[in-house]
Amino acid sequence: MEQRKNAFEISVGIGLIVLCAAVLFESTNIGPPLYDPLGSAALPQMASVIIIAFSATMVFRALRRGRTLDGMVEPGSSVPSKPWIGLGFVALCISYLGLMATEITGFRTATILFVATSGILLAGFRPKAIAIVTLLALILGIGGRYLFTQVFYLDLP
Amino acid sequence: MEHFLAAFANLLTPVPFLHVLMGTAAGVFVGAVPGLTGGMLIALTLPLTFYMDSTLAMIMLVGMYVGSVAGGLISATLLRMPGTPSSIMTTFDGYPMARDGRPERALGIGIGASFVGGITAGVILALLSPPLSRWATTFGPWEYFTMTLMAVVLIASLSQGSMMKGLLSGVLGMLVAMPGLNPADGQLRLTFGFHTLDAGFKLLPVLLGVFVMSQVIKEAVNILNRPERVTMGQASVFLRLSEWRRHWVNLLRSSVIGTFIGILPGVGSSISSMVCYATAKGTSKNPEVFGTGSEEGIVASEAGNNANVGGALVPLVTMGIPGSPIDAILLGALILHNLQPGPLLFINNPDIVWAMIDSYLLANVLMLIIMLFAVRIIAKVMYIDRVFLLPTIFVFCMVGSYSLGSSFFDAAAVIGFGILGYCLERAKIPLGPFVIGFVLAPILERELRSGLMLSDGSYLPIVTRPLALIFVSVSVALLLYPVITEKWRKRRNAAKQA
Repeated sequence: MEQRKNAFEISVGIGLIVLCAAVLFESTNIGPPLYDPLGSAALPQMASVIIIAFSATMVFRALRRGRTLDGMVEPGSSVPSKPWIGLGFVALCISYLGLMATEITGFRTATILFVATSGILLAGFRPKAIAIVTLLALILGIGGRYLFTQVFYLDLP
Repeated sequence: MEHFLAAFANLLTPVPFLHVLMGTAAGVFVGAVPGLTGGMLIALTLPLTFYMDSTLAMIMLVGMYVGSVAGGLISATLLRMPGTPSSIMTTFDGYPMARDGRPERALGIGIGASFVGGITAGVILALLSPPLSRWATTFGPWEYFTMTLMAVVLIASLSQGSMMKGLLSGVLGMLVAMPGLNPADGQLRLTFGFHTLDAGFKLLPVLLGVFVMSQVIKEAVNILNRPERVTMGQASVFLRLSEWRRHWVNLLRSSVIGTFIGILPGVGSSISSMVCYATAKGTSKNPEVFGTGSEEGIVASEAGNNANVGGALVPLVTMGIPGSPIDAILLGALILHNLQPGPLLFINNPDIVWAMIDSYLLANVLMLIIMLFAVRIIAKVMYIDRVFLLPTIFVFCMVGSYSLGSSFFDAAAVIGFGILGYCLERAKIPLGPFVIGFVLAPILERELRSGLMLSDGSYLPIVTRPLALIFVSVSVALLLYPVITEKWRKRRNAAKQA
C-alpha cells in the first residue's frame, strides 16, 4: 500500500500554522503592559511567530521531498499497523468521559462498559481475551471505585 | 555529610524503605514491558501521591525512575524491543547475544553495568549537588533566564531527529503553558473566551496526555505487532567478580560520561547511552564485534543510561532545571507537593533533597537485587497482553486528571494532548522538548520579567553580565553548529566532486 510518508508532517505543520495564527489573532485582545516592560502579549506572539516559521519550513521540506513509500508498517515490525483500532479506541475514550460528564452513568458503570468494549476492540474478538477483559472490567469498575475513594481518597465522577 | 547520613538512616526505617522498594520494583516491571515507560508510570502515580507525605512521594518516584531505566534492559535483550527508549543501544548487542544462547549472561552483564553506572552517578550527585546549589543561589534573574533558555535550546538540539523539530516542539510546549491568568499583571490571555482556560492547562493533564495517552494510542494502532522473543534457559545471571575485570575501564568511563551528559539540562538517557556506546566502540580493540553480541556494547549502554539518571538529578535538585523529560515530571511532583524547585530547595528543604539523593543510591542497590533474583519472573510478566493494559491505563489517566479539581476539562485535556502527542510523534517531532518547554516557560517568563524590571526594560544585561553572556553564547553556538557543519559538509562534497 502506498501513501504519503510525509502526510503527517504536512498536516501537523498546517495545523500548527492555523493554531498559531489563531493565537496571534487572540493575542491582539491582550491589553498593553501594565506594571512591567514585557506585558502579557509579547511572549505568546513571539512563540507563535517562531512556530509558524518552523512549521512552514517543515511543510515546505516535506512537500519538496514529494511522494515516498510508506508501506503502513512501523519500523522494526513485520505487522501492518491498524489506524482504525487507534481511532476506535480514542472514540471509546471520549465516549467514556462523555457518559460521566453528562451524568448518564457514574464511574463504576462507565468503567465496566469502557474496559469491556475497548478490550473487545483491541482483542479482535478472541473469545479467551474477551472473557479476561470482561473480568478485568468488573474488577476495575467495582474494585477501582473502592480503591480510589477509600484508599487514595480521590474524587470520582 | 550530616544531612546525607541522617537521610540515609531515615530511609532504612520500614516505611520509607518500603516506598523505595515499591517504587523500584514497579519501575523495573514497567520498564521491562515494551510500550510502557518510566515517564508513563511516574505520571500515572503522581495523582496517587497527592495525599502522601512529600518525602515518601519523592523517594518512591525516584525509585520508579531508577527501576524503569534499568528494567528496559530485559525486553531489549529478550525481545529486541527496548522497554524504555534509553535501552535502544542495548538491543544491538543484548538480543544477538541472547539469540546465540547466552541470554542470562547478556542480562547479567547489563544488570551489573546498570548498578555500577547508577552508584557512580549517585556518588557524583551527592558530592556535586551541595556546592552547585550554593553557586546557583548567586544567580540573578538574567542568569536564570539565560540558563533556562540554554536548557530549552540544548534539549532541542540534542533530541533525535532535526534540531528545527526539537525547537518547534520546545516552543510549542512553551506556548501551551501560556493561556490563562498571567500572575504578573493579572491579565487573562489566550483563553478564546472559554472560562475553563482561565487557570490554563494544568501540568498533570499535559504530562498524562503527552507521556501516557499518546503512547496508549500508538500501542492501540500497533496492537497486532508481536515481537520475536528469546526464552531464558537455566544458566545463572550472576557473574563472578573476576569476569568484570576486563570491563572495568569501560564501566567507569561509561558511568562518568553518562553522569556528565545527564548533568547537561534537558539531555535524556537515550543520548547518554548512544554516546557511551559510540565511545566504547571507538576505543575498543574489537569494534567489529559491536552490534553482533558484544559484551562491551551492553556494558557501555547500560552503565551510561543508568548513570544519566543520577546526573540528570543534579540540575533538578540544585537549580530546578529538569535534566530529562522524566525529570520534568519530578519537577512537577515537587510543585504539586508545594515545594519550590530551584537553588533554594537545598536550603529550605534539605531533608527532601537528601532523601531524593539517598533514595537514588538505595534504589540502585534494590534494583540490583530485584533484577538478579526476579529476572525470570519479570521476563514472563513482560509478555502481558496490551489488550488488558491499555484500557486500564486510560482509566488511571482519567481518574488522575479528574481528581485534580473534579473537572472533566482536565480529563478531556489528557485525550487532547494525547492526540497532539501522537500526531507530533508521527510527524517525527520529539516530545521531550515539548514537556521541558511547558515546565520551563513560566520560569523563563518570570525571570525575564524580573530582569527587565531591574534593568528598566533594557536587554543589555544579557551581554554585560558574564554568566548570562556565557549561557547565551552556548545557546547561539548550539543553534548555529548544525547550520555551519552542514555548510562545511556541502563545501567539502563540492570540492571533492570538482
